[in-house]
Amino acid sequence: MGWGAGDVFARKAMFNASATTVLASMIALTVLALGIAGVLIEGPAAFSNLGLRFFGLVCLMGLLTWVLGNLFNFHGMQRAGVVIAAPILGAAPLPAIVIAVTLGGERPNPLVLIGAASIVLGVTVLLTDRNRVLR
Amino acid sequence: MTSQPESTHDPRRVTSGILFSSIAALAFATNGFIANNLVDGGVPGIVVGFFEGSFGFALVLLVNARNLGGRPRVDRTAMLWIALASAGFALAFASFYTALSRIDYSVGAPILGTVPLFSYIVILFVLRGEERITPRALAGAAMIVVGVGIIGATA
Repeated sequence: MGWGAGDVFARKAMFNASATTVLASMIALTVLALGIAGVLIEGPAAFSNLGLRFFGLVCLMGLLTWVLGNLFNFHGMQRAGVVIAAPILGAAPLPAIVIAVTLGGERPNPLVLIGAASIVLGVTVLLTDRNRVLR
Repeated sequence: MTSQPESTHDPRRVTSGILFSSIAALAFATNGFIANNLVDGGVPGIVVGFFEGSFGFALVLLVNARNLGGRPRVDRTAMLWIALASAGFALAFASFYTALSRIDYSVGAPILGTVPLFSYIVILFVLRGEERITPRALAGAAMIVVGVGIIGATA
């Protein structure tokens, strides 16, 4: 719900400011909110003694989410159009399950896979409906 | 973007767009897997989100250094939407990463697939007059809800 609403609010902000400015300001405020909430909920000690491996991995996460993910998503939408690109991104749970099974050794319940397929199909149907856009 | 002659009709351009979108989907999927490993190791989800965002912020500044030069103008309306978006994202990162410490990634990832449904619901209120509810959109929303229901009931 937070990501869904956040995406729309960010789009609204982009009517009055450049995309880069919105993105940078948004990440800064998100980090600030997470930092304050983290100190209040987990305590300052939770932010220390995390080790080099941890920082290496979160740096990779920052690159994957905020730079590569957003950048490639933007160029994908620009080149293939929203109708093609959005369902591909909506199908992200499928590679996520493949990664969880192959690298993480998870064994999801078959019903979870049916549920995942239903979600991906629903997202595809929803995002490829051109008639819902009025203008 | 609408008047670009080579836009979505050039097959090579569309193919490269599909490739870029696939890489983006893979990047987001891999990110969740790494987050799952970190929170399973005992690091609180909110702390993972904080450091991921901090590094992300530094990388975005680095990549966009030229665009952000000078004094970027952000008026009060934009700032309000940015603050609301940030609150939504902070809540999302903290709650999803915390949830991953309690459930498998293969269960959490499909639920994350419902993001477009919530975007659509918010769009109906925030961007009034730009989108409408169609039978097809309702069918898509129903499939998403059924999918989440199945996962919620079985996981």
